[in-house]
Amino acid sequence: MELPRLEPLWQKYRDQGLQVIAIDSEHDTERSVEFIAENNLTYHLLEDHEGDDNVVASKLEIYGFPTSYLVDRQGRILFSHIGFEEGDEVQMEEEIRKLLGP
Amino acid sequence: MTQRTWTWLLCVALVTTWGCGKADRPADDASTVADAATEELSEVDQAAEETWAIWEETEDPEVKVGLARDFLERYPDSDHTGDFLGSAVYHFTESLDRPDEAYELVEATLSKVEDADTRLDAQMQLAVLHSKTERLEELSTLADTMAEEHSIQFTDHLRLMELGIEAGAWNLVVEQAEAGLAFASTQAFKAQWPDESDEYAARAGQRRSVYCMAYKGWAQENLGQHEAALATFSGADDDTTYSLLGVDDTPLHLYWGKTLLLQGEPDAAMAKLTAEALFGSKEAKESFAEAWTAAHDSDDGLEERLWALRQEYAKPLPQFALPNYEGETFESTEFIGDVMLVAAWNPT
Repeated sequence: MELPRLEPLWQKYRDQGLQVIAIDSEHDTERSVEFIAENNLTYHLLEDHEGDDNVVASKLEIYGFPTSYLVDRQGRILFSHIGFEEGDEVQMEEEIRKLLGP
Repeated sequence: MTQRTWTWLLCVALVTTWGCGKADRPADDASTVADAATEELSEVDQAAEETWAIWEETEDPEVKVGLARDFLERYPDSDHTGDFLGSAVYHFTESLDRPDEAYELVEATLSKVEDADTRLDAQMQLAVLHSKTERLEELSTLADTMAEEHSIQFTDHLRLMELGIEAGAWNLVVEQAEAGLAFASTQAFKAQWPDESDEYAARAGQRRSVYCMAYKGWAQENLGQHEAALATFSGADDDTTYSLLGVDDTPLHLYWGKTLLLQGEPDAAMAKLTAEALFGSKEAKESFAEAWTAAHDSDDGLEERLWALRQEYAKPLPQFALPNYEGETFESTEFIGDVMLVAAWNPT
């Protein structure tokens, strides 16, 4: 599961200007809240519900979960990850450092 | 071993979401699973659930195949047959290198199955096994048998195409692609998923067509039909749709690029592969790197080029506003100036 692996990245780089934003597309708030508490997630956790639709996931053209985008300081998507395998967080960290700059 | 298992499970999930599923299945298909979960479990469902619980706790492939074997001995003919066979086939072939035992299990199970759907699931696992062991003739014969015995659907043809690609059964891929094309229309999609809108069905029908053409073209190239392969890819181009980041939502550009590379056109290959290499699959990135190396006689400058292309292909993050679990709204524009990692997830 991707989300718990993002917590250390957020803790490590938040002071340098990293924001981690998780968008929950499941329509089961109770389950999500439980998951977040169990894993002590502290970054931005948002719910993407509007009736039965995932409005933001559609807007971002996300059709498979997990999918993540890395956005630079100008607001441009520079990297994307579709799916998540163990070890991907290492590559993600490299990309984050590249975008955070010196 | 845990890592491997999870990687595999993720791959299965990805295949479901981004392979067959993305090509085809309506997005809300998962809701039926949630509905089933609230109903009372039958004996076999209960047994399956218990078996999976033990399965997840162990890292030993020997224990896993034992669990699958025991379950299938007790319940050879259920909705779980395909899943247990699939998992056993994976471990027998990938972890234990004992494909013969996988054959024994699949064949013993198949001999006890009467339900048509379960039989098709089990046959598909036999096809996986033929593909992994590269028994091309058996694979081809089995595909014929499946088509005779069942009215097989687009997703089955797609799966057979993928198995054919993995095993290098190029004639089978061409046959299955042609059979799949018969399902590549709005009406054919609506016949299977009547509740979907015409608009969705039209797009899904086109996507089915592009998938078939992408696989067919790649098979043609591998059969030495170079001109035909290029014609197949060009024929699919107009029906292709692209993601926010310009990535083709089928394997068309990946196989088109790989074909151009094989044909000694590395620059043309890179042009087809760019968006895929930047934002899509690892395979596309590898093919792009290969094309770069072919064009420049070394990989010098590749990373710099990719970084420059990334700047060129980058798209603005669409604006959005969403509430957190306390009901407080966050606007994406608040974070401009910071680096954002936006992760879409669901807890299931």
